[in-house]
Amino acid sequence: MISRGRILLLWLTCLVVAVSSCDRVGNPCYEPLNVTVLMRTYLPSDTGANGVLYELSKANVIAIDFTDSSVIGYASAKSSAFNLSLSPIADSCRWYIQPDSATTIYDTLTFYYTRQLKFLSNACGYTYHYNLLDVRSTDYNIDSVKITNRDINGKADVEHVKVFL
Amino acid sequence: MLKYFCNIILFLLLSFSAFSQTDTTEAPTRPKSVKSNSGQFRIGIDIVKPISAFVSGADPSYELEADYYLGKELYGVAEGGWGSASFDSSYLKYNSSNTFFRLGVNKSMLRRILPGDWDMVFIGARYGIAFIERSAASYTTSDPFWGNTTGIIPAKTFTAHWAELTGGVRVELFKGLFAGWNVRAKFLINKKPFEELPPSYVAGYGRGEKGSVFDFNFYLSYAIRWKKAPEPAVTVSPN
Repeated sequence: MISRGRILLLWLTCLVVAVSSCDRVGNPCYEPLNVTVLMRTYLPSDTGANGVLYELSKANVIAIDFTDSSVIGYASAKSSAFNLSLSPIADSCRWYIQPDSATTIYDTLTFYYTRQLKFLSNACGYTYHYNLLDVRSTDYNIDSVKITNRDINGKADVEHVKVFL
Repeated sequence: MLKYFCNIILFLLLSFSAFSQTDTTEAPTRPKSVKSNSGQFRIGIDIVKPISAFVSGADPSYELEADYYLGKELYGVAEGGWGSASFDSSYLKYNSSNTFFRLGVNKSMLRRILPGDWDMVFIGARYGIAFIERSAASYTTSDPFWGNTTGIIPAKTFTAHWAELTGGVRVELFKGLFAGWNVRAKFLINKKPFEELPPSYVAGYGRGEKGSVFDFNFYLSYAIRWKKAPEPAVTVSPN
């Protein structure tokens, strides 16, 4: 039979280890706090409706609809993919897209959507997810716009809008 | 979670390795386990939770335990307590408080060597229930383009149900006075209500957003004992 002294030593050792392992501290936040619309630019293709991915050489993309200013999202960017955030305080917002910063011609994209307040975790708090209803554009450089995925929920590398130039 | 799991494995290895050691000399035949001739009711208080809350600056919680000897090294256990928690960050702020109860049994795995031997190494199971109130929560979201938004989430009450597996030790230090620890693995049964802004901490269970948790208690207990009436002698009829 094991002695009482050894039992006492056992649980004193376990006590020290166990107290060190118990805590109320939560995990850090690993989820994206801001979700964006992934917009890609295309040229119409001769066959099919998918188009050909087209990289803009010096694009400016600017958010408007602020009370006193606009915010530059992309300046002279060389890219075919742009992440645009939607306003959480309104049901629509506008972005300017200037395919070539060397010219003064730009189009306006207007996004219409519904907002949903979403709880992520205690570590991350709340954020907004969106459901795209419609996207309208001017037609100076833009031929057409197509919504490919209406759920704006932070999933990585999911294209939401195709812009055909 | 991995850290908790490793610590539980360490406890079990330490406990079972010590119990499996045997003397190299020829040991006498082990006596059979003897029956206790007393009844016992024991009440105790967990000292780890208030101390760790004081050290960490968190809101305190309190856990009490009572067990009653049912015979054949089986104990009926009732536990209860209360506590509160607060979550305060730049993006989320709320408080919560709850009471809880647990019912279950413990089975001592130690062989009783004397009728008055009440030391035990046990395993057990519990059903737990907690009644939780969460206050209204204020939140803030921030966006690099559009700025901050704020709002209020209404207060809510929850009821948590969970199942537990537990093991531990109780050693009688002085007559009637016990000390010992429990380790617990808890599994939340009703997870759905806790998907939307759960309480940060539920006294008796643990972190409210976790579906399973590990926990540790250290109890100081006092036992009340009484002599059982002797079993009537069996008489054999001459016919």
